[in-house]
Amino acid sequence: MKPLLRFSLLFVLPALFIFYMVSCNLKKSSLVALDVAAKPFEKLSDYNFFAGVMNELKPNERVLPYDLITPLFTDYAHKARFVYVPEGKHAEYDTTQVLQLPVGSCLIKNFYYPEDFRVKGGKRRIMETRLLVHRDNAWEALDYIWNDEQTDAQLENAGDIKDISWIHYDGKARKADYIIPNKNQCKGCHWHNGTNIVPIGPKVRNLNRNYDYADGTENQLVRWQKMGFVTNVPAAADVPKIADWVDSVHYNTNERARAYLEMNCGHCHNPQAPAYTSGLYLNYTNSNYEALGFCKTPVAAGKATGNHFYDIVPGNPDESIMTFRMKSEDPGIRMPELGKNLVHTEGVALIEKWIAEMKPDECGRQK
Amino acid sequence: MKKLLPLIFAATLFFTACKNNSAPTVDAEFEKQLQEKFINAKEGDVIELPEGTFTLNRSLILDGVKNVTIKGKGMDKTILSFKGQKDGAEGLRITADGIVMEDFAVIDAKGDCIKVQDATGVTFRRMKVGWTSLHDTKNGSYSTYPVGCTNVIIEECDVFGSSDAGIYVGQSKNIIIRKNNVHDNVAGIEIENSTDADVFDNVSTNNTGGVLVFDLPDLQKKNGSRCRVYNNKIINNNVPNFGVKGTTVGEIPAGTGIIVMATNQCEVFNNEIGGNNTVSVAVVSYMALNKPFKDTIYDPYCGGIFVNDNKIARGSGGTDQSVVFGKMFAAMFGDKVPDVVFDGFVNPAYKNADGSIKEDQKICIRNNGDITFSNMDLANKGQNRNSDISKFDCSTPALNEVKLIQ
Repeated sequence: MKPLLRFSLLFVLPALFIFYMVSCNLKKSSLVALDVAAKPFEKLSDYNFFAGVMNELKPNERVLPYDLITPLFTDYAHKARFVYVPEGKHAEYDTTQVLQLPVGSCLIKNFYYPEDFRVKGGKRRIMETRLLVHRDNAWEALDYIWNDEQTDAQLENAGDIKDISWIHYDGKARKADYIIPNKNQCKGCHWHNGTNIVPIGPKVRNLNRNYDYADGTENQLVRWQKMGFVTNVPAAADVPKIADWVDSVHYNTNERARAYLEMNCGHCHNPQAPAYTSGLYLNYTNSNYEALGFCKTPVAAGKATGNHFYDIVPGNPDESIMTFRMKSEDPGIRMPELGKNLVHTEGVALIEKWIAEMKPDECGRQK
Repeated sequence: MKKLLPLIFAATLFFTACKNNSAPTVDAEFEKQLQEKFINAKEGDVIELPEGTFTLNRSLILDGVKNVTIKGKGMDKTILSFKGQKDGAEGLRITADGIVMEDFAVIDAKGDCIKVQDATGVTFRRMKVGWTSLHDTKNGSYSTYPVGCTNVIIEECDVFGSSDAGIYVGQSKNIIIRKNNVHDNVAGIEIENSTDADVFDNVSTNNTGGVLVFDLPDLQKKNGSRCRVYNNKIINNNVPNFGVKGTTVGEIPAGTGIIVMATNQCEVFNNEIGGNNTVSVAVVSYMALNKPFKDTIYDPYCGGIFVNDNKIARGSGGTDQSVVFGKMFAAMFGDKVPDVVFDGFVNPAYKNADGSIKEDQKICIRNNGDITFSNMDLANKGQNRNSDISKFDCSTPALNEVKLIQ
C-alpha cells in the first residue's frame, strides 16, 4: 500500500470522522434551527427545540414551556407545550384574539401518556409532536410521530392510528386507539376564515396563570414579556382570565362550563369557523342564549340528535343533544368530531351539572 | 419449475378467494397513499381511483386546493367503503373550490358520506353514495352534503339509505340537481336554506318523503328562495320514517311526495307524483312543525309558490300518523288527506293595503288534473278549512333557469 494511502486511512479518515462526530454533537447543542423559507425537517431532532436527551423534552434557548388554564381534551393525552419566538421579534398584547406571534415563531405540542396517571414524573410514552410554524403570511401544521424507541420523531402528513394503554387515575387499566391527525384535518380546528390556519390555545385570558419554571414560579405573561415574546402586557389585575374548568373554589359552574365549551368547542362553533353552519356558537364571547344552544333545534345532526329535540333543554341534561353527543364514541355522533374518541367523563359531568342547574324550561313543547 | 406453476396458480386462487370471502379488512396502505394524494394535491390535479372495493377507517380530507378531480372507474367498480370507520364524521370531507367527483362510490360512512363545505364549484357526477343496509336508523345523515357552497351540480348519481336526507344541499346557492336516482332514504332530496336551485329529471322513489324544500330558523344563511322542482318522478315514497326524533325530517310521514316549507318563490311543475300514501304536495309554514323559534329575521311563511301541471295520483295506503306532520294531517283528514294541501298561513307582510296578496307571494295551484285540495286553516286547527281550489287558480312570475356563475 502506498504511504500516502496508508496515511490517509490511518489518520485523515479517523480525523474526519471525529470532526464529523464533534460537529454533529455541536449542532445538537446549538440553537433552534427553524428556517421559515425551507422545507420542514424530516426529523423533529433537527429543529433543536430540545437540549440533551430528546425525550426528556428539556427546552433549548428561547423555547419556553407553557400551560393553558383550561385545555382542550384529547383522549386523556397529556400535553407538554412549548413556544419558540425568534430573537428580536414579538407579539403585541391582544385580548381580542389569539396572540399574534411573529413570523418565525413555533408552537410545539407534545402528546404523551404516562404509564400510570397516578405517578407524577413516571415513565411515559410520547406519541406525537405537533408543530405550528409561522411561515411568511401563514401558519403551517406539521406532525411528527415518535418512534417506538422514543429517540426521535418523524414527519408524517397522513396521520396514523396507534394502540395506547395506561393506568387511569382510578387505577384501572385503559386502552384506546390513539388517532394522529392527517395534515388536512388540522384546519378542522385551526381554521380562520376558511383559508388560513391559526393557533387556538395561546390567548391572553387562557395563559394568565403562574407556571413553575425551572428557575422559579412566575405568571406566564410576565415571563413571556421578560423573554421579549410579548410587549405591553398590562398590570396583572388588568389582564382577563378564563375560568379554570376544574376549579370549583374560585369559579361557579357557569364560568367553568363556558370555559370548557370555549376551549373544547368554541374554535369550531363560532360564527367564523366551520361549525357556523349549525348556528350553534359555543365561544366564550357569545351572549346569545339561543345560539348557545338553549332550546335550539338541531340543523344537520341527523342520528346524532339521539331522539332529543334541542341542543340544551335547560334543567334537563338527559334531554339535551349536547351531552348526548359528548357521551358518544361513535364517529358519526360524537362531539368534538376531531381529536376525540373517548368520552371525557369529567367534562360531561361539568356540562351536565351546568345544564341541570339552569332554570328549567320545556322549550315550549309538550312531551 | 414448470411443474410448480399450476400449484402456484392454485394457491394464488385459493388465497384470492379467501380474501374476497372474508370480512372486509382495512386497506391501510391504500388509505395512506390516497390520503397523501389528497394532501399533496396541486391545483388542477386529477386523482385517479383504481377499480376495486377499498375499506377505509378514517375520513379522506381535501382542503384548499382548487379544481381537483377525483375520478374512479365507475360507480359500481371503484368503491370506497367506510364500514368500521374509526375517525372522522364523514367519508370524504372537502373544503376546496372547483371539486369534481365522478365515477366512484362512497358507502357506509359513520356520519355523512361526502361533506363539501364553503366551496365554489362542486360537482358530484355518476356516483353511488349511501348506506347499503338501507332503512336503518343507525345509517348516517346525508349522502351528498354540500353546505355553504356556490355552484353545485349533483347529477346521475345513485343515492340511498340516508337516515336524514339522501341528496341534501344546505345554505348554498346556484344548485342543479338532475338525473339522479334517489331511493330508500328518509328524505330523498332536500334543499334547505338555499337560493336558486333547479331540481329536475330525478327519480325519487321508495323514500319516506320524495322532495323537500325547507327553510329553517337560527342559521346564518336563512330565508332561501327561488327553487324549481320539475320533470321529476316522485313515486311510492312510503317507507316508514327511520330517522331519529329531533330532526326535521324525522317529522315527515311515510307517503310524502313533496313538502315545501317556509320558503319563497318555488315552482313545482311537470312532475309525476304518484303512489305516495299520505300527501302528494304540501305547502306549509314552519308553524306546521309545532316547534317554537325566536329567530326574528327568519320568515316562517311560504310565499310565491306555484304548483302546476303535475300528474298526481295518491297511493292507496293510509296516512302515516306516527310523526308530527302525519298527526296534523290525520287529525283533519283521517286517511284521506287531499292530494295538495296548503296550511293557510300567510305572512301579513305579503299583503297589499287592500288585503290582497302581492303578485310574487301568492300561492298558486293550477292545472294538476282532477285532484283534491284543502286550505287547511291550520291557524284555527282546521275550523274554517276549505277545499275550494279555484281561489288558488293563479300563476306566479316565472323563475329563470339556474345558471352557474363563472
